[in-house]
Amino acid sequence: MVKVYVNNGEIEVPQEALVIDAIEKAGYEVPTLCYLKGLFNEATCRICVVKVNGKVVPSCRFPVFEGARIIVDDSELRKLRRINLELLLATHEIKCWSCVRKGMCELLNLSKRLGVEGIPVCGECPLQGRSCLISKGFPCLGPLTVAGCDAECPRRGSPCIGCRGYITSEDVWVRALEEFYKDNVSLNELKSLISFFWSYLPQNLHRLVREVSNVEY
Amino acid sequence: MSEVLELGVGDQKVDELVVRVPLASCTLAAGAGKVLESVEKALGKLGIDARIKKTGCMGLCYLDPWVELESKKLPPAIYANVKPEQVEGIIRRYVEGDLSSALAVRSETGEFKGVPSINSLPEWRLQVRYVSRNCGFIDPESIEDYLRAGGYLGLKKALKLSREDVIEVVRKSGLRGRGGAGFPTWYKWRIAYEQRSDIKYVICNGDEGDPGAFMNRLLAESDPHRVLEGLIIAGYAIGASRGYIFVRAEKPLMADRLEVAVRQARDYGFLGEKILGTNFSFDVEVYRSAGAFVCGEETALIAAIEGRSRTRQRPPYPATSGLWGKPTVINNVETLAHVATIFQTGLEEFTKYGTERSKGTKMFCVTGSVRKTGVYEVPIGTKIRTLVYELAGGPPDGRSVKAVQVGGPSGGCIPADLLDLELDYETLQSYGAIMGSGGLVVIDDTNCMVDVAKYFITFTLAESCGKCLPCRVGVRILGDILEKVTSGTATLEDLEILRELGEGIMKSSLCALGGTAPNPVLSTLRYFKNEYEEHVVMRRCPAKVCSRLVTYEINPARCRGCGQCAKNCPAGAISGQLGKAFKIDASRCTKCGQCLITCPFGAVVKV
Amino acid sequence: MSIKLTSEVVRVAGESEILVSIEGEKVRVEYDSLASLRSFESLVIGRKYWEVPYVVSRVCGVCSHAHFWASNLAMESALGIKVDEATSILRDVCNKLQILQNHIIHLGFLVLPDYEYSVGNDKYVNTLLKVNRVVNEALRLLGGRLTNPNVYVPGGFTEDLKQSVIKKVMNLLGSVGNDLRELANIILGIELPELADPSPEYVSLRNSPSVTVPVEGPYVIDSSKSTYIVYENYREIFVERYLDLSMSKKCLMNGEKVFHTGARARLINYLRGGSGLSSELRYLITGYEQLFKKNPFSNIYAKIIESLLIHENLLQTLSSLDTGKLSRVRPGNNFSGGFGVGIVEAPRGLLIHYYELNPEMRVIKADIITPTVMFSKHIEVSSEALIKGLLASKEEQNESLIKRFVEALVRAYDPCIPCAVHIIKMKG
Repeated sequence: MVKVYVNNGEIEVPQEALVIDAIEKAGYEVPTLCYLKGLFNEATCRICVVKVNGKVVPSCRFPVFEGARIIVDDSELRKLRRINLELLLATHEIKCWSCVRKGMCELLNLSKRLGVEGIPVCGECPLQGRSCLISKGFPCLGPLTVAGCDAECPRRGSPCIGCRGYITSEDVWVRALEEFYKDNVSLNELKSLISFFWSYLPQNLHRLVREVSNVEY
Repeated sequence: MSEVLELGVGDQKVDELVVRVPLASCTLAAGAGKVLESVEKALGKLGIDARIKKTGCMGLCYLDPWVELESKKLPPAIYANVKPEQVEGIIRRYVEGDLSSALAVRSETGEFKGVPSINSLPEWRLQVRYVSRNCGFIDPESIEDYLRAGGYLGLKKALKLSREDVIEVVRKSGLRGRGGAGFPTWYKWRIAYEQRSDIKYVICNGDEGDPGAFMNRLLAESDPHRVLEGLIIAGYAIGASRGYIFVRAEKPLMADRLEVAVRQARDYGFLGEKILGTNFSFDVEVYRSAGAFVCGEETALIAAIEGRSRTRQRPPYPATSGLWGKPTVINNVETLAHVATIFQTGLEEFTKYGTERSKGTKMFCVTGSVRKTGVYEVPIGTKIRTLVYELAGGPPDGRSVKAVQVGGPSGGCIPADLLDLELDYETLQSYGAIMGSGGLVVIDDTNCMVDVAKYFITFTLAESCGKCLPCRVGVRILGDILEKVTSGTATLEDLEILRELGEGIMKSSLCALGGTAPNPVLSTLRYFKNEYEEHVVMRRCPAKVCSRLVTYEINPARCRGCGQCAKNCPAGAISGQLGKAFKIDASRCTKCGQCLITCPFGAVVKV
Repeated sequence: MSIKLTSEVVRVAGESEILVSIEGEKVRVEYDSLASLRSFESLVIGRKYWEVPYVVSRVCGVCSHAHFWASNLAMESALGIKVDEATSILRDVCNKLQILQNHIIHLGFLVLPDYEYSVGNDKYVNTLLKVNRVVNEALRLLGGRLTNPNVYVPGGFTEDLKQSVIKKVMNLLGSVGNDLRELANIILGIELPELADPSPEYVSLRNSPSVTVPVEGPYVIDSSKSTYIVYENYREIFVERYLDLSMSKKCLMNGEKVFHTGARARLINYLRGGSGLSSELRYLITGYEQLFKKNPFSNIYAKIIESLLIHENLLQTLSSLDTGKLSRVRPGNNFSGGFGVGIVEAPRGLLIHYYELNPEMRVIKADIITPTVMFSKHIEVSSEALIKGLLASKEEQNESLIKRFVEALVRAYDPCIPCAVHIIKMKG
């Protein structure tokens, strides 16, 4: 057994333990993504980073040693985690409306926890397939609105009106407009709804919407 | 332990004429092969009784291809940039005593008949040729040459000591890894030595992936046995039974010469069972890799030998668990050469050079905008200015140095006003660069610093193994933003993102490739922020390099209307009437620069 | 003596200002708003019918349910949609829950400090917060979000409401019965300043808040002496004018009478025809009737009594509500345009919404009259009377005393400025 300090609290862990085990034992939680206990700890996602004696290391893999001082959270670690999550989202093909993880997405949980925006409301809306409001023809703005409200309105049958703000990623807009809305919803109505809270859309998104439905409103 | 051996400059006494022709990858690329043929032909034609000695390269690349002539009556003379048709004349004149076309003579007594001694040339005089002492003189494929120059004496001495004492010698020397990180060599050996395992490995890292760095290649092609000797000593020290020399496939001559050296060493009993009558058995294999920059990183290198190159998060470190899980020590080519030389010539010869924290010498490769590109071995702690101006001759006429890139894609740019910095590990790191493997690229005022950063990022991105998030995606985004900057579509906010993202990538990457990839960007941002801002705010490239921000124009005052530019324009963007000033249509111009090169009157300008 | 007092009044939402000028015998009080133009009435022009309630509920975060309900009603009546009884009742329940919550917070945090209850008094603050929390939870369960509700549209609720949810709400309400009574004891024990209402006209919807009836036009509105059937003629009865340089409109009954609307008005009018309450509460109200009619400060008493009333009424209503009957009606296809009026009782008083739709079901005209607009003139005249009374009494007349009294009076009305600002139409 060795003695380590987690957030200045002393605990004892087995010699062969990893830093993440020590953190768990001390009662703290470190966010993870690619870590699967006992199966996978190749430290590829870099979300579980913590500081051991001042050095930034991935906790899922770093072994403990006598006297190790582990800091689970500080502003620098949060910033690193946020940067890595944003990088991940930048390459993630966001298609929550047809994704199998809709309503139970770990990326979304992490985003909420770390304060990163980019995943739409569809990611947390529990309505699946058939009862999805868009497939019923409602111009619900779920695919284009920033998540975080737990899909308050769509989950009660009310189409999302986008009060949380729009997703800034043009890719998501393109995908939603071309793959999802086009067959189900009147694009004029969609445009009318977009002008509700988002009359200050940035140029590129504004242009997109205009291109997709060729009528001025 | 501190016998100082007299190492002769040549080999056995010279009776007849000796013609040294350097055959290394660099000289061969410069045409040494044809020169060799001419030498053979000339000797036959002139009917002179002479010996042709194929050697490695001295490292003064700007001389390539060079030849050296030596005879009993005359001092050895070096002829630079030899063309095949000049060979006959050179040999004839030398034999007649006319050394006038020689660059220098290798003589203890100074100049000879007006030809300066090589020791008077700063690029030679200021060097301390410690590990590179044999390069360019001995035949790399002859173990006898090496033995005559004092080779394998170090191994013999080491085998007389206990393993701990061997490690102790290395510790006292203060030798630090020459591959980049500068880690104390003895420490790695000590950890591996202490591991209990019947199988241990030593690996020589000959990957040398930095673009523009070729010190290791030069050393291994010119004096391979030195490297091998160091490897065997390392193997003895930690108790390994097997060693690998890892060479990337793009350096076939280096691999060939090392294989020859290994075979010869076996024949002479320096490898194999019970070496030199001791209980130490050791053998070496030269392993050719498929050539990826990431293989320079030790865990990736190990993985490459195991079958699939991917970096692994450390710990565990290779010294405790490396190749196939066994304790493994990985050392750079130059480090091992130092080990051999320390044991050959003694501690003091090594420790008398260098700084307090980093003893000894280092081979630095100076390229870019300098008159005399080459490999120069100087004591650690030498000022950058000395290396760039005094040894490498400074920039060509009309150009001025803007910055010096130290450390390759993992390093940073040192601006011109900081050139009095000393080349040592700690100093460079505190200024945003790293020593790296020792490659220096001199950047002048015709280069754009943003373009330089973009070049390195593009390189690192292509070489990223893709395993961890920050390097795989983050470096790509850095590249995207740099592309925006060089196209004039970036904002000032993007520069802030560059800095923040770069710092984040450095802190959270899995291996040193990602961990140092943002260095060129961060250091150019730090020292050359105004260039970035000019690209962003003024949409202008001050060095007129970034093609999207540059326009080509014809100065009507100088244009004679010859029409040559229009004929050569691949985009058909130039039009006009013969005899009158021509015009470039900017909307069709692809910025290839052909017109500027073609115009005989200098009428085409970059704006 | 010539005093010119301006003070900013601390209130629930928005910023308002009272200008008092006293010159000898002449007292003039002006109640003004410092907020800028919000232009809701023009914002909604061009919007589809179902979008409008989402916009106008954002007029005020505190009474958003009332605006939401009123606009839904107006749309339904414009489109000719009739909703089922359970829907109507549920909407009323949501509105009443919000009225309850509004009253508690207003009384607890804005009124009590005026009467030297220190807010740091732990015990009653805890009770307040508990009641607030519980009522909010009940509102959330039934109405979706606390502010800016999202759970029904013109035509009905968007989702079925389970009986178990109703039970939960009833349990929640049941758990705060004693707390409400405790608060009532505190508040009814306050000593109110003396003041005679200079314009005793009280206006409210028939039968609220005692009974929950399916609400649809035309609407029966009681004033102190008469009863009106109000629909599209609301403009003649509630006349909005710019009576001075204030940014907010003021309202006059029939174009001439200054009137009060709100808890006080509701309770007074209830006694005229209300039914269905426990005799205990009826007794209570009857006991205070004269005070209500006379003293504008008594709005405070009225509010807490109304809270008890609503509490009892809700429990009754919910126990017999069958949510299995909730249905949703869509507008027909042959719409050729029309108008609709929706009138509800908001926490502070009557709220009127009016919309005109074109055949595409888009708004071409909108009009909203809020309770604060209706009684802001009443605030002015009552304040003038109060100041005259203070000056006439032989006590020392200093600025700060007058200020305190006037502010306490204004706060007793619980005015809410976001509702009070309208477009200023320049003439000529």
